[in-house]
Amino acid sequence: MSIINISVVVDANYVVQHYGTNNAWQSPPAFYHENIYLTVRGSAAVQQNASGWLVMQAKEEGETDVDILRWRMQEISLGADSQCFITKFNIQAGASLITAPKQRRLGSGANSRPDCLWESTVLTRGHVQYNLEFMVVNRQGHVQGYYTYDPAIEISQ
Amino acid sequence: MSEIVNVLALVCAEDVLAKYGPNDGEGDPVVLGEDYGGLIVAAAYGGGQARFDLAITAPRGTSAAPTLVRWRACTLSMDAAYQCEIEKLTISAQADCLQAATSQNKSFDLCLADVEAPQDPSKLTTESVVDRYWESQIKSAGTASYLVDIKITDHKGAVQGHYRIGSSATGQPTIRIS
Repeated sequence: MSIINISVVVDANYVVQHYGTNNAWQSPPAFYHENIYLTVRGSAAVQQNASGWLVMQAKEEGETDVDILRWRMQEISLGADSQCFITKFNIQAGASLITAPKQRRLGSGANSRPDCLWESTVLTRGHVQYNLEFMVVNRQGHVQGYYTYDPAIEISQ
Repeated sequence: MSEIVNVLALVCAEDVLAKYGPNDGEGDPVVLGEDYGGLIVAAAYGGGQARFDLAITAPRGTSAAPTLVRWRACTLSMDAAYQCEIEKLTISAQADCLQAATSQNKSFDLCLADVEAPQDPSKLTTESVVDRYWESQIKSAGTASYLVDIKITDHKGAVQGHYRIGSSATGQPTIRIS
């Protein structure tokens, strides 16, 4: 199996300034895909890498080297100014194409930061549309708000 | 209070190592092609991702409240598999828009969400980590060329190599301050 790391970089200041603070964790306001950056390694990207609308290629189950997708969210300051966490995945279309993303926490890397990620396995190629809900906290650990964002992944051969 | 312009360099460590291999060239970094990294600028100061030529719109600041550009780097796994760190950030000496960059290491408490209930603020925890960044003060409008030298280490901390991002056959990347 091979792993495709999907880096989701959020500018939390922008999100909070433009969409306001809230405590709406059950129905977070929609956040459009400006100033959010989904990036995969160049060899996995088909189009619009490092944008909110990523098109990527992945190997499906049954092929010799099926791909595992790992999403990690990070604030542009890497947590120094504020921090963002993925709180929920809702697959809207193409739910049969990947396994339901599950949150995992793996051992610390070299920099000693805990490795928090959401993981899914590619089952077959196609178009996956999902809502990604996330929470923004400030440096003091106070919640600034909950937001939802609807990226898509086109899994191609 | 200082105005902070965050710039994040994202590096595809796996692709870098696959293409260029490891090296021990500290002080003599291997120059990477443009497909192996990119820089993201905070929205309030220009936003978007340039490949390497950056345009930042920011106030000049004052001596009491300067505007600072903070440069950080990480890998696409957010430093879980491999770690990426800026070893050296060089601003062209003749540039009058940015001061020379200096390295900073500051500890802070990183917030962590609970795995089972990530939306629950009562279950947030913190862990002390080190914020490693390079910082340069904006002096005026203008354009400067720059070089970012990075070091990639594996998850055990072993150095895999030293690389330079952003440089190309066409010349050094630039940062334009307006």
